Amino acid sequence: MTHPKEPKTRKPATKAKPARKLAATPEAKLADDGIHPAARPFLWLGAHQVQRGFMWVIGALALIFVGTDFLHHRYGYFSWDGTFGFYAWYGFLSFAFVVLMGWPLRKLTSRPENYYGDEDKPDE
Amino acid sequence: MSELFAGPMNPAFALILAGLLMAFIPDWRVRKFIALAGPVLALWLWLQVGVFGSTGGIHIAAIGLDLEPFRFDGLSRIWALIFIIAAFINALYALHDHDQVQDAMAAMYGGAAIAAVFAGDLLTLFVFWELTAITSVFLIWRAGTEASRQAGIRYLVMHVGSGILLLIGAVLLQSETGSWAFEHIGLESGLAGWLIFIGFGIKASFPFLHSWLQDSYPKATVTGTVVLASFTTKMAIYALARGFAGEDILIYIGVAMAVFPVFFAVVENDLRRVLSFSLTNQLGFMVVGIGIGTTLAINGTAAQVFAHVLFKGLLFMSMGAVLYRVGTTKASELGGLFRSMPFSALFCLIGAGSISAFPFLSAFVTKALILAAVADEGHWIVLGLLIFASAGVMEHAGIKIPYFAFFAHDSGKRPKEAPWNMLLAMGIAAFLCVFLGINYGWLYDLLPYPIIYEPYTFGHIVGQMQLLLAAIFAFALLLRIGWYPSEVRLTILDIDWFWRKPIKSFLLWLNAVSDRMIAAIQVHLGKQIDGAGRALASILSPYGSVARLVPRGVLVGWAAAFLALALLTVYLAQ
Repeated sequence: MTHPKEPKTRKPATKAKPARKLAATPEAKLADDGIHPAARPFLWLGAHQVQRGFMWVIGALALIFVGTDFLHHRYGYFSWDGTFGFYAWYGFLSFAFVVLMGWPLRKLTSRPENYYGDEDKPDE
Repeated sequence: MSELFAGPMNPAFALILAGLLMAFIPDWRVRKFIALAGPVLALWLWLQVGVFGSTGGIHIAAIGLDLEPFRFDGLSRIWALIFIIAAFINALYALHDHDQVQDAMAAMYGGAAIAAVFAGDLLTLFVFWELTAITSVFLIWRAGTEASRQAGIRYLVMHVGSGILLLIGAVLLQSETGSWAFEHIGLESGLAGWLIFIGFGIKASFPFLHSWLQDSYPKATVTGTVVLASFTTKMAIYALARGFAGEDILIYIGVAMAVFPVFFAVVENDLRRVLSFSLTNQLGFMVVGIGIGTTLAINGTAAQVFAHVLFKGLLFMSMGAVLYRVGTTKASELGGLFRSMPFSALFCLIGAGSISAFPFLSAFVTKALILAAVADEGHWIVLGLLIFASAGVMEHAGIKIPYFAFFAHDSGKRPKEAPWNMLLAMGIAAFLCVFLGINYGWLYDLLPYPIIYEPYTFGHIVGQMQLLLAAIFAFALLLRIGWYPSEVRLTILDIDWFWRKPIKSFLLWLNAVSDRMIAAIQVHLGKQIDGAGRALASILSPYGSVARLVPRGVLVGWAAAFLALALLTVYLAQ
């Protein structure tokens, strides 16, 4: 590539810290420099509690959509996929199966990163 | 030759010409203008051709050969349109990159793919089939690593081989039928049909023939991978839809393609490789559609291709932006990037939502067409497996890509947001993903056959939301209890290693033979090519960008180019 890459991170020394209202909050301190202005209102997405709570929000939403099967019959392509909550349990089990199969699959197929001996070597 | 200019012009020429021009223009500003103007001109030509069902085009009756280089009909026109749109978005995405070789090759590659789609006969198809291989390999090599050099050679061997199978099949078919026309071929045409089928299957990444894709795409350049992901495989899907629609075997091949990559995508650490597995998975849905072969199914496949080029391109673009700014796409090295790359993160989420088929995003409509066609034909096991694969899509493309790159634990990395041109390219693709999910009638009008299908029914929306939300819940739960395989730096052997035992020796033998074939070509043609190659290189690039590529090993590229040139001469001389 003839075009030089941009520096990977901003140098904190060259950038005057703006006096922000958020500066006092722990989140802002945690990610002091290099934060994109557009991302500042969304920093809470990275908070530990939010990431933990995410599971329950999604779980609740899933239950709501399962619950709608009570209120209104959902017609499927066949008889079985129109049954109560079919897509929810099928989706959950499919997903879990795919992920859990990752363990034996990794055992069988994983090798050290430079197994083929050509990683990240420049071509001269 | 005068009739060449009598009818509407083939839009492919606009891109091929743009590529040829760029090969000789050292000034990057002029080149970038041409790179963007080429697709615009192609779109204008596409609009000039006519309305749905038009077969207006030119017809060259060469000496004893009936060739039809420009067949514009219901099937080819939608593929050509999405290729033109992709060419424009890709050129915009690469605006900051001043690599002359990639500029030229990317445009020619896109043009060749469009020309292949418009090919009405097998010889024209073959010529452009090979041209896509020869031009696209430079997008891998220009990454400039040893890994990319070797992967490029493997890629070229597979793809030139695919073309040779196509050529032999076409010659056999012509000797039986007396015609070069590219119409429905079918496997009942015996050996000829099978050879062409396998030739197409290599580029469509059929199981056991797929590994070139996961091998080479993650090793290509930042912009190269995006370009590669747009054309080759979708061109193969077109060829299958044209030649083998309704072949039952495609249903089972397609299901296998949709299912097996989801397991590999879970354990893969390189996110561009995860997307490459995801690509094979998506092609699987399309191949199933072709196997079903009804008008609804072919419509579904065409619609899925159109939507897929956009959302898959979008996902590759977002990972390209990460690679450009951070220098890696290994999940184990990433996390928390939304803090400094919020727009890239947003566009990635839209791409992820589209591929997972959330309501109001493109695949919600397009994938449903294929599933409905499968159900209409009573294939309930196939349907069950495709729904299973859909949960898998949610896992690797819907969650894994955006989560491990932009969220998850904070890696502490604060790279700059992607350059404006990358953001604009991603923005256009993201807009189209949303636009098609809502204004699906616009897409319906482009499909090969008339269609009446309402995607936004109570059952479809609720069923799909149940599937997706339950899958996300499973992800969060497994992550919480520590059952999710954590991202670690590993090389995952490909499926040919995993399934191979009975055919391992065969593969090794094949490998040895192809290696020897390359060596033989090098020995016999080496001297001549070396001299000619250097001369060509100095012509092609005054700044020596090609010249730097030539000295080592890349002789194979020239050998392949000469092979193609020789074949082209024979083709034109007949």
